[in-house]
Amino acid sequence: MYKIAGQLAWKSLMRRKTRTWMVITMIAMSLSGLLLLQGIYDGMVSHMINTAIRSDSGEISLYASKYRLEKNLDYRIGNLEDIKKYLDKQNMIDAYVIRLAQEGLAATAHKSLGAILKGISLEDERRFGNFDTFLSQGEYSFGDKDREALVGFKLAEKLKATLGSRLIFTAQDANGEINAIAFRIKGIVKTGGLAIDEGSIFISMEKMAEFLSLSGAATQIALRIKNESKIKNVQNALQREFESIDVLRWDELYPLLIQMREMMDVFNMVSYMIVFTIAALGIFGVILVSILERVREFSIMLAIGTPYQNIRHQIVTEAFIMSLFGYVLGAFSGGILLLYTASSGIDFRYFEAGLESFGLNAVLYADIRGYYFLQAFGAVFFATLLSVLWPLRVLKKIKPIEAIQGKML
Amino acid sequence: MEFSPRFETYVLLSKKDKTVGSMLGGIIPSKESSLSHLKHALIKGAYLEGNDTRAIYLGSDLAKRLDVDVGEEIAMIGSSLDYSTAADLFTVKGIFRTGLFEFDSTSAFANKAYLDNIMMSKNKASYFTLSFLDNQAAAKYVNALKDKLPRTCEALSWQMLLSTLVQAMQVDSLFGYISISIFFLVIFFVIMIFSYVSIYARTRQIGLLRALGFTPKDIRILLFNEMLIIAFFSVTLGGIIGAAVTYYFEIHPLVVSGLAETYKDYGIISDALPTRFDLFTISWNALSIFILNLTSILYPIYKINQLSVTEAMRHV
Amino acid sequence: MKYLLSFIFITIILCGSEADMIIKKVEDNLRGDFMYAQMRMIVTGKRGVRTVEVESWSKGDNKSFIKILYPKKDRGITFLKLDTQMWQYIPKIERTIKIPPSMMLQSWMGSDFTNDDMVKESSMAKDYHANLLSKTSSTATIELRPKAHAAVVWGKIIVDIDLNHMVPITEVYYDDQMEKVRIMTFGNIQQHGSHRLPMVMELKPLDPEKKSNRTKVIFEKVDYDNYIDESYFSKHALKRYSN
Repeated sequence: MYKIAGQLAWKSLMRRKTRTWMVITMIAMSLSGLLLLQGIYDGMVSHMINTAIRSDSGEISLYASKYRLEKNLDYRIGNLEDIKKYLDKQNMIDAYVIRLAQEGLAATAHKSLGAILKGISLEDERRFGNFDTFLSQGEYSFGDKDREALVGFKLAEKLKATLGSRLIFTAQDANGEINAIAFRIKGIVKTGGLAIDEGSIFISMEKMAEFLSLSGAATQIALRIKNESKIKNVQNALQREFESIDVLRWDELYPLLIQMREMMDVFNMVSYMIVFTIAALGIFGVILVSILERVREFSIMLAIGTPYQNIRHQIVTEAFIMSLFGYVLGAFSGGILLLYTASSGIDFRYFEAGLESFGLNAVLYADIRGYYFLQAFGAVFFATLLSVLWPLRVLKKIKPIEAIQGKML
Repeated sequence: MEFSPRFETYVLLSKKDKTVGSMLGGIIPSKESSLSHLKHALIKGAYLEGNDTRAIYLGSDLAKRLDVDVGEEIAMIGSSLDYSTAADLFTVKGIFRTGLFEFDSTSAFANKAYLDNIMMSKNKASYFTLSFLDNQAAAKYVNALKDKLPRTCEALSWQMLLSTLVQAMQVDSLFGYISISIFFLVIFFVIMIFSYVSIYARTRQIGLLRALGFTPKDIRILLFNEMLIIAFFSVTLGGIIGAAVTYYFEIHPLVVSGLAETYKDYGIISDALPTRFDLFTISWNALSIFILNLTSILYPIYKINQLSVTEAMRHV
Repeated sequence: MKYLLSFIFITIILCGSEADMIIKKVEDNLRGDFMYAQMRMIVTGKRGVRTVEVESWSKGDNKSFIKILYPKKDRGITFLKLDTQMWQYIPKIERTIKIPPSMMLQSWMGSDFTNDDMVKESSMAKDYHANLLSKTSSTATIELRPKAHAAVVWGKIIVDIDLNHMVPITEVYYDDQMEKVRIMTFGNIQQHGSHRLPMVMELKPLDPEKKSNRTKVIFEKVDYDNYIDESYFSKHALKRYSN
């Protein structure tokens, strides 16, 4: 019986090809657009998270307790050797970097601005998060005798400094003395993270230690843990081992990024809801009309004893065949679009200049996740269900005799 | 235009030998409490009230840095708009915690009415939540603001906040366009489907007209004019309803609590989703839909004109 | 306010060449163990003109005490700087506030003096090579170039010196690319006890966006020859000398 209903559904769809194709194209096109949008949004957030992890926090960062509050060298990590020894033994930790930072004043002949000077090891940073890939101009090097520095691009711009310019940094050393240090700009970095782009200067760890009269100390140790499920374990173990140190995960350090991700999810949901409510309207129209057109047909079927369920089944099948085609087509083209944008990216440079400085690259790469397609399926399913409800009610109200006599039309 | 102006300025807060630089915001407590979750972030003491004078509402980590508790007194020094030193003593009225470290460790709030006296910032607000949907106006505003800000602010995060604001708006509008184009795409299809269906329901009638001597061109003109009338009415109606809704939301903005604090660093500075009643935007959207309406029937008309007269007449 | 002054005191330790000798003489002329001054600073910026009047007492390079006399609203605000620590007293709220080190590096009362000028005063001495460019019977032009790794922002400084009085006439500051950044001019030379110094100095930035800015400092009283009581350089002084 169902087989007949199915066949009838298929036949009636084929009879109105244009209409059917319109519905299918509508679903397919809006679906692929939504999939792409979701992929780009997620890609954008992942990119920001990834940048924050690579250029700053790692999966886990260690700070002396109170350092983040006071930003003062009095609260520094002193037992560096112990920690290093411990970290070297952990096979969960893929890489780690030690940084020594101090806030102060960066100046050129034209301008002076508050900034953070960070002592780092270029080699370690490269291993840690490919820091060299953030270089936008110049060389990834501190020059001969560590007399040169890497500078965030926004900071350089504001200071009116370019490659080779001389910068002076003034800050308090570990003894509270105010000192100044001079260096030339060897490279300009652009991470997309505001803290680095607008306010950071990197010099060699050795030079930094000398400047601050402070050796064997750090203000931050960042760790990379590639195995996501182990992050919490490592954090707990570290916290137990070093009680006086704050052990923080990246999501604790950048709660904004997590919230941003949640926000994007909400945004995607809302987009889906709006789009598929409108789409449901389209499906609804087609189904309703196809029922009204066939009232006589259905009435005869009812009159000769076909159960109402069968007719309902036929209608629902019609609707779902269309939707399913639409979904498959949409998921397929959306998937291809996503694959393309995930590998080659979309260049947004032509659209907005501001995007770049917002913490994003001009070329955005989409994320692809399996659940996108599941979610899309859910949306199509519900839209279809929604759209057949009303037409079915209309169908139920048909009075076969009157319809056959042509009174209802 | 402003429904919750804030005045923000960089000040030093001090208790005994502890001095901490902080952002002091002058807020209108009653308005702010309906818009943001600042009030709900309270963990100790009480939230500000409209008649408060020397009361300050401190971030939890800032309180920790200053080593103060509710009821204790702290000194504030800043620079007022005429460059003179603004100083006053405040009593900690309440302590809040949003969970955002940067915010909790640097922010403090006081009653704007009182702060205006000290800072001589009456009728000045550091930002208006509404300008934010309109890129150009905001950019202009940001520039104007830069001039007004005390120079002491220059090296501080202020500028960072402001420039990010502009960028955030740009990104926002970019993604807004993408979303809207998807919405329009679906709407286009829906209209096309409906007009196709309704035109096809009249196939026989059209066949008859053709038999009576109408050319396909006449049919096209006939249907197009019909659509024009429908589109005109629907767009007018939709425009009026849409405008009314927008107008309503401009006066009663939608609030997503916590948004402002959450996205402060990204330049989103109010948790009200500002809806702007802007005739230009409304007419622009209405016009797009109107054009969408008209283009969506091109294909159905083409299809129906493909049919021969006899085919049309026999159509079931 | 000592820093402001010592900014023009180009201290050169190395003696020998004529240029070094001249610079040293100029510097000795302007420098004293004790210094009391009353001065007016007129800052012209985008938002109009603003005048600040202060009284200052200083001892050596590391101790100084400043009291604001004008504008009226700020009268009585005092600052004390001892080595790297700084306090501010505000009579209106009767509180002394310790200025955090990071704040000490911020801009100075909205003037065109960069923070650098305030902080770096004592390092000028060892940071430059002096080079005599030209000389007449009454004036000399000297070029100061920073030493290889000196932490100074200037590419070079060209100083015109009045040899009769051993005071500077103009100083032109250049950036890294040897573009002029700002000009400082001196005038109204007066003898005050054992010292002779210009009573007026004006700083003019040359950056296009700051072109209309000016900062003028006028000394109204200067005294190098009297001992300044140690009581000025303690935290009690902040309140005690506020009136």
